[in-house]
Amino acid sequence: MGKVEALGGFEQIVLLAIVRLSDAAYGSTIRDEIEERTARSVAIGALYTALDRLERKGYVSSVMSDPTPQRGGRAKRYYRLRPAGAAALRRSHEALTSMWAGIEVEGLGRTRS
Amino acid sequence: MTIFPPPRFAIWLHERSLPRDDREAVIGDLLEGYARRATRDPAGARRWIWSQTVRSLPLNVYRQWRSRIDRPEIATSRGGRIVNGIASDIRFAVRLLKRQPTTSMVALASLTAALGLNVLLVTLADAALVRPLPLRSPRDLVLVLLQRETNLMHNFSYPDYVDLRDRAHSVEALTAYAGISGTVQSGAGPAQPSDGEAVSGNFFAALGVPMRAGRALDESDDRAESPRAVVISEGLWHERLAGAPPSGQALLLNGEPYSVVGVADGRFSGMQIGQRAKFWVAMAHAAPVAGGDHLAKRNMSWLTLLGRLRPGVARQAARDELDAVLRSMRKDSGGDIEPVVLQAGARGDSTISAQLSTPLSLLLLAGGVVLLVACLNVANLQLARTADRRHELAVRAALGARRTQLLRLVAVDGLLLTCVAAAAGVAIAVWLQDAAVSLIAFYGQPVALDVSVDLRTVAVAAALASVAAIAIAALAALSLSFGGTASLSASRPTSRTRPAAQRALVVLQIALSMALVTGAVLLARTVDRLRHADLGFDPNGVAVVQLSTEQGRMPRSRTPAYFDDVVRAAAALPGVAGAGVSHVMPLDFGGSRTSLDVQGYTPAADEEMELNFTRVTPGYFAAMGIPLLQGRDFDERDRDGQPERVIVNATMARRYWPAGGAVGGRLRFNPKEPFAVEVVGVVPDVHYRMVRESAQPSFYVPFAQSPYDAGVLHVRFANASGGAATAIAAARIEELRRVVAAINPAVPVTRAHTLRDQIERNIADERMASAIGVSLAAVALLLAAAGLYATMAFVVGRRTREIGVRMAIGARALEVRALVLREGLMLAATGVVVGGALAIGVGRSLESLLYGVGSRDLISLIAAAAVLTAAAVLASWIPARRASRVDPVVALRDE
Repeated sequence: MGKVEALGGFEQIVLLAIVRLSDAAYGSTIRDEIEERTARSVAIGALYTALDRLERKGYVSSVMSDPTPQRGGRAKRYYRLRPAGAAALRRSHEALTSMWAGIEVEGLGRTRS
Repeated sequence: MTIFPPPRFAIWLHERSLPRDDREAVIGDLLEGYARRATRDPAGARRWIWSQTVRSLPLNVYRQWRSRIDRPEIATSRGGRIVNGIASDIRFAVRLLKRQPTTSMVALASLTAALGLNVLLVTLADAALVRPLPLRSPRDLVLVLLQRETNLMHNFSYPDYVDLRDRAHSVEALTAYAGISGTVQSGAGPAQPSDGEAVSGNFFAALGVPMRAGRALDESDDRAESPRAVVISEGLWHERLAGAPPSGQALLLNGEPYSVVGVADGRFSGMQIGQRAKFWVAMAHAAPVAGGDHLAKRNMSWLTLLGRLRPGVARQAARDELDAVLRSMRKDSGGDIEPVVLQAGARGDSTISAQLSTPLSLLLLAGGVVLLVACLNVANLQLARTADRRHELAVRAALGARRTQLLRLVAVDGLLLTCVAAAAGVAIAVWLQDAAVSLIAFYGQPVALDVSVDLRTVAVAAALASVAAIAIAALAALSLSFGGTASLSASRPTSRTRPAAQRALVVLQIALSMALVTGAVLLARTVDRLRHADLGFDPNGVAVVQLSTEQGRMPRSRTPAYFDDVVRAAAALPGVAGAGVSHVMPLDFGGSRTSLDVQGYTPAADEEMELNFTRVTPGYFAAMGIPLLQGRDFDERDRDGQPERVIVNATMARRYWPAGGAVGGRLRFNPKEPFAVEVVGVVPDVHYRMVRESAQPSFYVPFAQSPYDAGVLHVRFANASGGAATAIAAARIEELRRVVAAINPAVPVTRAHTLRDQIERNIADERMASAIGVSLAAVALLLAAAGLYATMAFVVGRRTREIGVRMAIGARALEVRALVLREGLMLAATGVVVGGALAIGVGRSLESLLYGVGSRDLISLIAAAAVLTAAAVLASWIPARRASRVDPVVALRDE
């Protein structure tokens, strides 16, 4: 209904991590993927808050795996991108590229000095 | 698993805080990350898991809360169930309220208005009747009084004070103060009449008066040889010194220079609550404002004594000691021996509570009624909602929900509304408090009340809100037991539902509003009667200018000549129909009295022969519009050295000369002298101290034969009548100020306004009661109308099908409209009849405030009934119109 909600910065990163991990996307791997690539520490609570929100928006879906002997026999919750999430990523990519068009990253902030 | 187990407590915290569904996956992720790190760096892994825990905990709690809202379900632990239950309840209530935004807003507005009004009233009553003076430990203060017959006097002379202070040891610090008035002047500005206090040297320190800037007065200031110092109020400080640090700036008090050494905190405005003292000077330097020998005379009783009990001394012991000291003193000096009485001194010698307790408690009562009406309103709206949800509740009950759970479902939105309304109500109270204080007057003067909103206000709001919430919940529970969950099959909404409980609430609301509106009408009519009371003079078109020759330091013997000049100058102005001077302002609550004997009249054994009298110059009666019934006005023959003459009023003439012939009658003021005072004229009765007083015998003496230290110039302006004449008088007051200043600039104008203003001040109590009463009644009326509207809208909604059928078989829109209107008016009529009975009780409780209207005044009852009926028609009109627009086809298909 109405306008399309914009993706938050962190939500975008989480979605991209899920895309990159394809079938192997669950809490631990998503967090590791993000920490590795962005060099920022991610609180697991923050990650799941974002995943919750993405799931409510219909951008991702999740399924519980069967329990494995690792992790004290605890099941994993696997996440998968849904078409709406893919569309949202595309929209935000388009928006960003069009906003970035013609801007030199190196030149940023130097114009005034 | 690793050989290094993860910190159990961190895991436990995660487990408790996470939504149930997510525990397994998240804990698994945590353990996986921990295991990978622990093999390389066990200590780092522990740090990592703790950092994860601390950072995630609030988010986990938030997610758990959200998951409760999305999927209300039974939590396992008891504590968790309560917390989750409340969270989900709030969420649920918000959703419910959003579903019916109009009714919710009406309910919220009702509660907010009622709570705001009540917080305001309670704050006012607290400030005027309860709150102590802003002094250090005010509860330890005692007021020293003397019992004279049945009265308690708090007047002591300065020598008395010094003796008591030095000889009584049970009182830690005995202080003395007296209210004084004088003019304040700084730089070239005009002299401004102001109230102040003369205080003993220990006053500020012993009482702990809060200071804003500079220093307090102390013992060293209270010596004849020390320089004259003054402490000023915060208001005067901003006004005169623009808030500059007080450092000995000069201030003229009654023309004498004082140096400003300090500024009292704005909360402190004198020892009488409501007073507006602007300056404080030491006793030793009070001469210019208190008269010359105020420190020496033992028979000049002008001080109030207030002390702080020494720790551990009982009040009774202190009383006995002070009493003994006073007795021994009086034995030496030969004065009357009167027993000492000690009273709580936390409020100084305030008399405002005696004056305001009746009107304020009536208003508090009315405020409570308004709150009740608002609660009924919310309960009513909730009933409508409950009826709509009957099916839902029945389903829940069938699925095993307990009664308390159902009640919570019904009551929770009321609770939420109350909380929001309480907060908004405090905001409204804060916003309106200055306006409310300006309504309160004490002897016609505006008062300074500390109504600052503090924790007490918030506590009051919380208490009121709790009462409201409980009332609403109780009403909701009541509705639930009215077969709210009877059975699943019977719970479907049908056109047969008769919301009996709802109707009862509306009738009750209307009845309460009827009572309040009647009270308000009675008060408004009282004010109107007071304004149009026959005062014995024509109050329109007269300006009054009060002049203090005392503050102008004019010897009393010269005042008759001065006032003659003033009258002559005023009378010479264009458009002036009459000018004269009296020694007091009429209707100023006070005046002079003297005892007398009348020749040929023998008073009864207990007859009081002390009468009110006024000193007047020739021309006064003409200026006031008082006709002479017999004899003549005073003139230039009635001077000092001539035989004394008086003019009496009609009541006095009738009482002492019942056979007629008052003119030529004789009396005396001194029983040792012959009957030498001659009556030269008779005038009608005039209201002397107050508008609401009955006729009393009183008389007039020539100003020239009995000079006085002040006078009030009365000037009547011609060429108009009524309000227009008063407007003319008001417009020419500045001109009069210039005229009197030209005659003698040293004599200050202490007050200048119209006679109409004076009447308004005199009836300020009644105006306050009426203003607050009318606003309370208006709120109650509005709430009752909203309640009726909501009920009728509900009824129409419920009967859509029935109305559709009626229209399908040929009922016209007009008839349908009449049907609904009739139902609304029936409810209103029932409420008005019940309320009429209540209104008679209200009238009785208001009796002491009424004037010129009876407590069962028929006109007021009819007027109130008319107002309520009009409101009922308006409230039913919109639902009626909606009913008449029902489309039969749609209505019938609906089922």
